[in-house]
Amino acid sequence: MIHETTPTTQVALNMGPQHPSTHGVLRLELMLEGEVIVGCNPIIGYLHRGIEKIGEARSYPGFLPYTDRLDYLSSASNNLAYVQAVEKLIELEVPERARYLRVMLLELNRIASHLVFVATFANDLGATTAFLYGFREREPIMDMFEMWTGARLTQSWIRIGGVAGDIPEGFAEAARSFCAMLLPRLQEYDRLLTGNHIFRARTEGVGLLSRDVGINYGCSGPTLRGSGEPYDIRRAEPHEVYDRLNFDVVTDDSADCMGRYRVRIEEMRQSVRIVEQCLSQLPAGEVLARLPRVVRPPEGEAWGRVESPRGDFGCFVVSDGGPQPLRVRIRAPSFYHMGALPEMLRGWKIGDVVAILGSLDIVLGEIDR
Amino acid sequence: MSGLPAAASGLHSSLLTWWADRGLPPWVFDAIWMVLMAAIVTVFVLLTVLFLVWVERKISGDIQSRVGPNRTGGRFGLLQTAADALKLLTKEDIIPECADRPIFVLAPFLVFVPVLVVFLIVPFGEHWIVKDLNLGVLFVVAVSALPVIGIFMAGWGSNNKWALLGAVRAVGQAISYEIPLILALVCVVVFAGSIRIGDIVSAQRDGHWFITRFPLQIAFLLYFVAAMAEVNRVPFDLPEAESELVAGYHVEYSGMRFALFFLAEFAHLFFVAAFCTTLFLGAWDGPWLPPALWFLIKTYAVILVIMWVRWTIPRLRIDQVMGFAWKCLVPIGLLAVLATGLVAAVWGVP
Amino acid sequence: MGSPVTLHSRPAEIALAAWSIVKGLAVTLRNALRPSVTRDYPARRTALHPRFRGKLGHKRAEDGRPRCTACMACEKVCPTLAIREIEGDEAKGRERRVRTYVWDASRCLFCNLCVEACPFDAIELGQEYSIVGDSREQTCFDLEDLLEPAGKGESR
Repeated sequence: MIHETTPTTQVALNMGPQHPSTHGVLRLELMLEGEVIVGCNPIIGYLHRGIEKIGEARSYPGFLPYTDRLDYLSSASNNLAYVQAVEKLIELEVPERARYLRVMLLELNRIASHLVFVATFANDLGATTAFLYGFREREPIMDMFEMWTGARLTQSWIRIGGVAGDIPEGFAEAARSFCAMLLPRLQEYDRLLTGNHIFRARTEGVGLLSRDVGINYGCSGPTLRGSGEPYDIRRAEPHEVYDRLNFDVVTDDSADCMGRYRVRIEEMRQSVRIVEQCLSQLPAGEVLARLPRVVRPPEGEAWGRVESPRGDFGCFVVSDGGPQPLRVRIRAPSFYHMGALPEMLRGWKIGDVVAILGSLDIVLGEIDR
Repeated sequence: MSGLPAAASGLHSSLLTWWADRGLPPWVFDAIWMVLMAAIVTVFVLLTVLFLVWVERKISGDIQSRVGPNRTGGRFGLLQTAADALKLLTKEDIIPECADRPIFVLAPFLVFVPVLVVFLIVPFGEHWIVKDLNLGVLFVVAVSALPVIGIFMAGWGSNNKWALLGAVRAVGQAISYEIPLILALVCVVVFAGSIRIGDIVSAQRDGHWFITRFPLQIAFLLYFVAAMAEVNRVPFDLPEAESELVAGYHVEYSGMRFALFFLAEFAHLFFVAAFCTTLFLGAWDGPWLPPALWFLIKTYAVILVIMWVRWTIPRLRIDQVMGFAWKCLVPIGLLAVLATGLVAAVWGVP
Repeated sequence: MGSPVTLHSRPAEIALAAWSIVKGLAVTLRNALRPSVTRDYPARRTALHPRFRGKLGHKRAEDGRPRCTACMACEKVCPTLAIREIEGDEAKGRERRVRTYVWDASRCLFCNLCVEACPFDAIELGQEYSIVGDSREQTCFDLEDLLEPAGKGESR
């Protein structure tokens, strides 16, 4: 080994906050020996907006639009975690139809988010074309969101007590045709990326995260499932109507970037299954429970948990009986994945930093909050 | 001898007579004449580069379900790159305060000039070659290795760690891929029996292109891959890898200096494809159409394939790039040389 | 620490790698032959869905007056204080009509809470999305800018 015989100096390199592959405004302080990484110190907070604190100064319904801005790639899961906590506090029964609609919105968000993952991950590895393909396939979902909720990205459509509005006419057809379109496109990704030997050489065996290390760091979602742990909030603690739906919890034992990538690709197929089941099982009825004009939950605390595209997204709400929460606390899965990053990076090269970081699919909006 | 070159050579000799009649030394005339020829080639290359950038954008647009340039210069955006070049030329010239000024300023020219110089030996047609040097192939190998010095100067002179990393990668990569490239050239030279470009081309006349002769197909593939690495194209674009090193060695460059790097890259691409055509695809050889047209058609076909590959596959990692060169391409290259030598020795070169 | 897949160990692997690249080339070629999916914005704009949440608008009642009674429900519910300075005229109760109303587009989250809170169905988030200005003042709209053109409301 060259660097055992030749004395080398370590070089500190700042990756970000202005860097195309840090997925937002993240700064990584890398210690390098040549191209090899010997240390990494993630520095976060560039996107801090004090959302938890804002929650203490807003009414219960009024905080909802802020949660959209946490994990902005899948705003519905943020909404749902918060709304679940509030609903537990006021012990509200949500109409059946609304529960199905929530699941559908969530799963469409998951597909959209995973498509962005595939796109950005490929772009990090230099496959610019796959980047555009991912966004192209995401576009029909965005269009469907606009049709249903009126907004493409930050939908704010899940409300305390249900959803703000029913699906419009033509939505079910649009969703079905999208599902039918997506599956062959995913096969195309498999031919373009998954089977490509360069892509495999860049991802297989890279950025290992063993199951135990992952659990110790509090990883969840596809990141942990890519290390072979079948932990999914949708099964472990079923919310909404997930216990009535058929889908597989996807795992991959390889524990590398490729494993995490494969889990997400397969999860999109599972989400398609869930959306189709929701469409066929959708019961008739109300979509929003009646609420008083000012929501004043009784004193207490509640924890809402949702399987977001990134993992175990949680929201903890404490009420003192007033019209505003006493405390809102958000558990962002990306934050915990970020914690495991230095360990995963050690010994790899600069080119692998973007691959490993990309495979964690972090969103700085929820890390910095 | 076809039209234009014949006229040019006629003009050359009559002007030379006129010049000598006035008692002026003929070598001065030769120098002026060469500068003129070089200027013509330079202008041609620069125009081609502008066109190539447009082609690249259109192709990437097609592949990515987009339209590509569609505003400037009509529906197909033909003037887009001209407008971009104009913009870059008129931008403020920024030299970072901590940069090593002379090195920083010199680097883009050192990258750009050698790439233009190699076009001297490109045979666009039967006599359409600025100077058919008797050591043509050697000249190409020598001159096209020069830009990497400019690239390293750019990376070092920028006084930026990202640029330096890009420069280090560029040097390692250029040196590694030079070897399989030369091995591929050796195979061709064995078959042609000469390193003069004119001889290589005439050895392939009337459809006896080198790519059709066993075992030069191996050399062709070898050249193709090594050439992609030489011009820093995906999957070998590590020196500039925008998702890793932001822009690599030219991260601190802007305006006209950046434009020089950019133009040099595409000019190099054009040269590599043109040289590929010369070596393996029979240069200007072909039926019916004029030779120069044949040459351009083949060159553009090679360029299109390189671009198509670029927009399809991901990038390798630096150790994989080096491993691929030394553990895969070099052994294949040595085998190719051996096979070529055997074939030439046993069956002889027709 | 090596990848399971290498690009240089056996000739068979090199051939497989080359084949995988050829398959990728086939995918990009097929996509190149498909029509492009982008739209020539702004020359050609596609229609928005009717539920699109854009610029806030005030509706008119049958008699041409604004429907808004300046009840302040929207101002109270707005999480970002984007709606402010609501004042009504002298009349009381349902007969009261809005006189001043300011909506600050730069603060608005387009969350639809105000529309849902409105007891008189007087406001809506409309189809206009190009709400830009050079200054903070220019992104503030008063009642005159927000009220839908006269005549349109009467047909409702």
